[in-house]
Amino acid sequence: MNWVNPIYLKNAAGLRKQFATNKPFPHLVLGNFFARKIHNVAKQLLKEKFVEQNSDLFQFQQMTTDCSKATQPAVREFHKFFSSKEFIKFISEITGIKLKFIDMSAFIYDDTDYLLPHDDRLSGRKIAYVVQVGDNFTKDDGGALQLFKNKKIAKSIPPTFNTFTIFQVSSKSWHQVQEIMSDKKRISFAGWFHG
Amino acid sequence: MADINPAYDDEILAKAAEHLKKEGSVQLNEILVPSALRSFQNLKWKHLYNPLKFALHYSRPPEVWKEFQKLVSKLIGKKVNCGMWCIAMMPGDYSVLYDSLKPGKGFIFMFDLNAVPENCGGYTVLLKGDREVARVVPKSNSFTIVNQAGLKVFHKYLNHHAKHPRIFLCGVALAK
Repeated sequence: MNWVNPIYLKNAAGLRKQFATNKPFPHLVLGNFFARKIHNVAKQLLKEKFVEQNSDLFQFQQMTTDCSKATQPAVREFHKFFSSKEFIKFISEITGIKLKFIDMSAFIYDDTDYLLPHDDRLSGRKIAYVVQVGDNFTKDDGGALQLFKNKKIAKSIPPTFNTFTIFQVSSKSWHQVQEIMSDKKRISFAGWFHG
Repeated sequence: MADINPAYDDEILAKAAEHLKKEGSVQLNEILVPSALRSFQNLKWKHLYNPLKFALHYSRPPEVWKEFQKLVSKLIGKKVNCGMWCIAMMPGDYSVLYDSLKPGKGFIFMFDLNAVPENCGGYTVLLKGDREVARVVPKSNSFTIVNQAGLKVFHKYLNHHAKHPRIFLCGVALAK
């Protein structure tokens, strides 16, 4: 577990309580979560191939393969840790949900890119996650992960480098990625922990 | 049809009707006379927001809607029942293909007051299954009608680079 900031490893019980009580639905936003080597992962990630994705619901670039098949060793190593039994066990512990495996893709949001509201529900998805590895955003840059309650935005989480966000997938887990309003790049790893 | 550009006489409209029948869509440019365009000024917009389905601004259509009903009737070659509304897409507005959205019936038509560059979004997409069959990119003073039987429609998110809203009259026509 040398990938994770030890502060978090020592506080699993506290995180579990926080996860369960956070509104509008169970989630955690954990800053400075990974060890310094995440900087190298972020750098190497840009050497991967990305493809434009465009539909009624979204506009962004997505890595052409799952991160398990990344060309860059640093990205593959990060995926290896993230999909390890011990890390999945840790996330199971802080969410209180039995988790089995993960999938992981990478995304780049440029100026005008967005992801409109959706709930992520699909068979087996229990916990959604995002690891931010791009620029730090201010409010004016857009790009925030926004959580809904009763069709209104209840919480905005601006992209900040090395922030790990997780939330429980359910009929309540409506969320969106706000349009990017500047030249900054929102770069992230994202996917789900499956049960 | 005093508000319709007189260049669109019976002969031209018959050709347009033929094109619509054959191709499933037709677009008529410079459709309204300049004085009729002014009827779209000072509309009062109401925000319609259901984030899971759409974010749009709505207004009752100006009187010119009656002219469009006659025009649609000529293009389809039948008397029609029309539902019409005015929409303003401001930056951040959109509609999506939500789960309970049913495929369309009859014809959908749009009168666009102003142009919006395609890279700003705000255009209308018609899909058959996953396949895009038509895209209406707003052109100033243009009228587009599409046979939407079996098609689903969404309006692409209008991004922050749009210098002004897309204002259009949108309607659905069903033959009587």
